[in-house]
Amino acid sequence: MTGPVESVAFRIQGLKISYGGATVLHGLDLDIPRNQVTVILGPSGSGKTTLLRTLNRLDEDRQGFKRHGCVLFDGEDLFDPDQDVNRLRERIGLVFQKPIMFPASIESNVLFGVRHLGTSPRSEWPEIVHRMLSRVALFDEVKDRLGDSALHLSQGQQQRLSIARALAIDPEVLLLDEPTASLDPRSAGIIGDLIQGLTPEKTVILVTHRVSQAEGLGQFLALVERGRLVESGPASQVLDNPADPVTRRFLSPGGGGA
Amino acid sequence: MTPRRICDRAFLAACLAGQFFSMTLLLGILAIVVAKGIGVIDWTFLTSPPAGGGRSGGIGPAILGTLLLVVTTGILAAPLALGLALVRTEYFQPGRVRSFFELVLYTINGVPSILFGLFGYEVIVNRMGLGKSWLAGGLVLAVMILPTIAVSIHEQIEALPPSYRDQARALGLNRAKVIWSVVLPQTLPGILTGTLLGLGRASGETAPIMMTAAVFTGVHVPTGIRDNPVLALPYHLFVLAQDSHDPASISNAWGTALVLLGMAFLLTLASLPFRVGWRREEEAR
Repeated sequence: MTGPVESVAFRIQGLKISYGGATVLHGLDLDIPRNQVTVILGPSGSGKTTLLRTLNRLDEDRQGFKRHGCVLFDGEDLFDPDQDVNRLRERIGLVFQKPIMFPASIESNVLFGVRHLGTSPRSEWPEIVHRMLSRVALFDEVKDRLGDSALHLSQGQQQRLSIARALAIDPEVLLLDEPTASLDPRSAGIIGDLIQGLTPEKTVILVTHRVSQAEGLGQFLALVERGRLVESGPASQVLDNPADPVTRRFLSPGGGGA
Repeated sequence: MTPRRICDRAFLAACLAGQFFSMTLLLGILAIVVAKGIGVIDWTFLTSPPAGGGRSGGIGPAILGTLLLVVTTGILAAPLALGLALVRTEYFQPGRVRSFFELVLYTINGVPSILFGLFGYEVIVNRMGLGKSWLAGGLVLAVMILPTIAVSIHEQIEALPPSYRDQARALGLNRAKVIWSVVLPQTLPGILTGTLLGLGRASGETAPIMMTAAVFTGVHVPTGIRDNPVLALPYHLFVLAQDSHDPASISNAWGTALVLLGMAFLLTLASLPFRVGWRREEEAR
């Protein structure tokens, strides 16, 4: 069941994804609104991460990967052979569940994409580092050790740094794969505030299995279970008046959405 | 004591015995070479040319020749091995082509070194017209240790967490940029280690250079490329060992062996900082 969306960032039509014969997504249809926080909610193993990685086209080189169906991004076919996949990935940033730090300084990690993609002149790099770290509320914590290894930061700090690195190349869309799954409540709260601050400038798609996170952050919500879309619509509508019995069961206490 | 505990103890004992045996063997070889060779080594021995068929004089030109061969081999083999490893890890999908490629690489690694000498003599010395020269020897040694270095680099690249590549690709970096910005910097210590270990092996090889690069006497420093052979420590040692009944020859052979061992040891030692640095980074990940 899908509610109408006014301005669509992604139009997913009959998306089926399988790896080596195991089907993960079974013909998903979903419109994802532009410049809102969309929460993809569902239990573990429901295909949420696969959906997110597909939007970044990250898995298509994996052995056994097969895709059917279509995804339109800004009206253009995401999988069109003429699409520049690297340019697409620049526009659609992805932050992983577990923060990935390169064994380099904090500053180098923020500038990783900027430096290698050449998105900004070198003279602007210090300002970018300052702006991005401030945006993820990390600058004050690390301003005296920007040259130190990022590997020595806490998990929560590393995740904020991951988001800063993704934002530094100014993507139009930010895909977040359970970014607070392994974080303490304080760090999770900081990232929650950060996500809310990203709209309406950017389209944010957040994958989570926690209903509380969907309630706090989501403007639009899609519930996915066993690779199928159960229900989608404005978050308040889906959370307060779920139309589908599966959604009602998932949202109920002990129903799977921790 | 339970049977399980007995098995556990027996396995531990077997492991310790194996460790003890290999260490004793290595230390035994080292002790004999040092004991027999140390008395021969002095400044004159290290710098002067051989005389009297190697029974007197020194090994100066042979040290220079070996260094020249090792450096040439390194310059030729390292970039090629890196290219091979990158093609294998970054461009070939697992499948028949990759399997065949790996089979070829491992087969080359198992070819007896004398065959490389014959190959070099026929192809590089004769057909390419380089004659017996340091460059021909360097080329043959480079081909010979190519799989060793390529496999070592390949293992380092494979050990790189896939998440690093995913992160770089997710940001929009193309394959070449992922290699340049992630794969190479993260595996550089391994590349250097693999190269140095391969060169350690090359420095001690006799068979590939005896038909392509090395002579026993009459040369000091090569002055050109074609038909410019060198003296080399392994070949020098090989010739001296053939006169092992002569006390003067065998004495100089031990001295030469100690210098050769020292050279291989220095190459292994040079790779140590990279290996330690690599391990520290691995632990921090």
